[in-house]
Amino acid sequence: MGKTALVVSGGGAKGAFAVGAVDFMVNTLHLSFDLYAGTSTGALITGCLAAGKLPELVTYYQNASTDTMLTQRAAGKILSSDSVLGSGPLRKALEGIIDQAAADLVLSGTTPVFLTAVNLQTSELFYFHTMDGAAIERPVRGHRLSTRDQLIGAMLASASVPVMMPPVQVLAKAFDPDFPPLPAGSPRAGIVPDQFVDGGVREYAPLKVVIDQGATDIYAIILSPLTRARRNETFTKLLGILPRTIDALTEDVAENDVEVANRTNLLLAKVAKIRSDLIAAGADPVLVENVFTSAGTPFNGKALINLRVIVPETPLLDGDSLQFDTFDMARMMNAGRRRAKAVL
Amino acid sequence: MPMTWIPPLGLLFVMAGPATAIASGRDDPCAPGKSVYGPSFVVPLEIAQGVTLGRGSPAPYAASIRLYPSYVLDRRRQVRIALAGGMALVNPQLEALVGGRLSTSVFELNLGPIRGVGLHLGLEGLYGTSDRGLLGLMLIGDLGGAFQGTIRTERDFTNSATLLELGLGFHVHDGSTPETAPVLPTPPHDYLGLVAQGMARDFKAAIGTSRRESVTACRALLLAAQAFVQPHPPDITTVVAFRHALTEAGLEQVETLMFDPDPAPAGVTEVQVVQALYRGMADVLEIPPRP
Repeated sequence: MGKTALVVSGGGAKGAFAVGAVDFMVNTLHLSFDLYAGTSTGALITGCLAAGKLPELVTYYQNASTDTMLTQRAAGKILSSDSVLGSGPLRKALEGIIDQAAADLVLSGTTPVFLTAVNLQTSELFYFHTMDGAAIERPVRGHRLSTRDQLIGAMLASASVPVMMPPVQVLAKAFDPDFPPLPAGSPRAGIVPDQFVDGGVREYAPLKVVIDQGATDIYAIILSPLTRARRNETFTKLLGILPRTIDALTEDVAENDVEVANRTNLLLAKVAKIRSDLIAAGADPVLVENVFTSAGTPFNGKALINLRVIVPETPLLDGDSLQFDTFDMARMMNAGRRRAKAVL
Repeated sequence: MPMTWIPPLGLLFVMAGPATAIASGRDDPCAPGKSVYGPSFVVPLEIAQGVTLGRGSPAPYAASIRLYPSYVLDRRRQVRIALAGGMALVNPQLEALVGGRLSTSVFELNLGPIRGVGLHLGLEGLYGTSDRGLLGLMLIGDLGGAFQGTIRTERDFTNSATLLELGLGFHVHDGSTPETAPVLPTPPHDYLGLVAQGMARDFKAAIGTSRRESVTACRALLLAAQAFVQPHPPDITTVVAFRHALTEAGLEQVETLMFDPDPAPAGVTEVQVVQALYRGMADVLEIPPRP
């Protein structure tokens, strides 16, 4: 039987939209999930959900202001620092929410969670996860989380927008592809621990990873509209062009991620059609079945995906998604609930 | 007590009033969105030199070094109250200075989350160890939360002289650390607590939405909400009546955004649900809940 997964994309403060939607899905519609995956703010949300901390998550986002998440640094310090902003308050808040009992629940893998991050040393996409025997194929890397510190580190790393927020050393040692255990005398022993940043650099909405784990019912919350909105203005300032360019890149990554699920569905439908056509044309059904279920056949054992995308119809914020304003957060939470109600 | 102490001490007394009011107040929710990042405690060190003018000025040269441990009362308006201490060379005596300063931002340019350029207006009262009373007005230019330049005029009540000084300084402590844990409300786990929290969310959403229209619309919404929450109409005992009352009170925007509470568990009456809805709005307005 297929699994039900919740996927939440990145989006900084726009994560409030996802929290509102999830609150409605869980508390009003009484939906439950077998699998979670999130990027950036989506990693914070799905990590807390896997820990059974929805009330704490709602309270945190509903009362968020910038200084409950980030700290500003003086200009003189930025040049010698690894980021423009500090993420100490966010880490401290996560440590408050994810206590040892909550971490143990997540790490048990009862409801697995996949948190995306990008390795600064290798530039590889990583899934920090809590699923034993997870199906993760190269070139993407996977690492099974085993401690509370790693879990909090992975959630924070996934949300750490590079340059704006500090990279995070999730693992005490350099990542070893054969982990566990780190073999004695490994050529990677003594290498500096890897630093991880926002997974949204490479994957905005981690749909593929939940499909690979057998999810067939997927609820995806995407925090930017998937339709291009024309901005009727002439961009004359660097500070206007830069965020617009980042928006375009983000929208492109988001569209590609959703397209993975759509194309998987198209191919699965095509494979099913070929099978039925062959049988209708007189081919031996047993032979057809054997051909399509033999080891190594693409999409073997995969079922059609029921993908429900909850996405805002218009952009949620005009400006910086690392500015957290409590009234804007509430507005976006309300919009998320409203959108979830309309879609579901 | 020498008469010359009176102006600076009077100033400190006057400064305490608005400072206390600002400290106990809160940010205007209708104010246009502006960065409220930034430290709550900074310590600028300033070296200044200039001239003294007036009949009590035997030596025209003046210089000082001053330290201002400053507490930021309101980050949105950058209102700071500071202790002031230092050494000054005036007329031509070297003496220690101690007093206080209150300043507020008159211009601020932030580059997104990066602190940019700020201009502050400050008022300072100082006492010098040679029984000198000084009262000063200054403009402080702030660069990146790290460096500052000051232009200051100061009245010396002891010698009936006026000082004009230019100063340069930097932040000995810029408040970047420590990165402390945020203080957040305890999440509700009971049904009525969740109802109040949901109403607070929807009311705040209405404020956030109206603010995008205009500051005037937002202020009107807040005024109407305060009038709505304060009185205690006994006839509103159902969620439907509550919605109707919102509309009657000119709070259609709140009514539109409001979600009906999830069905109540056994033992919870609809009157209690309505009271929780009122409480949610009162929490946002930071006024005591209705009896």
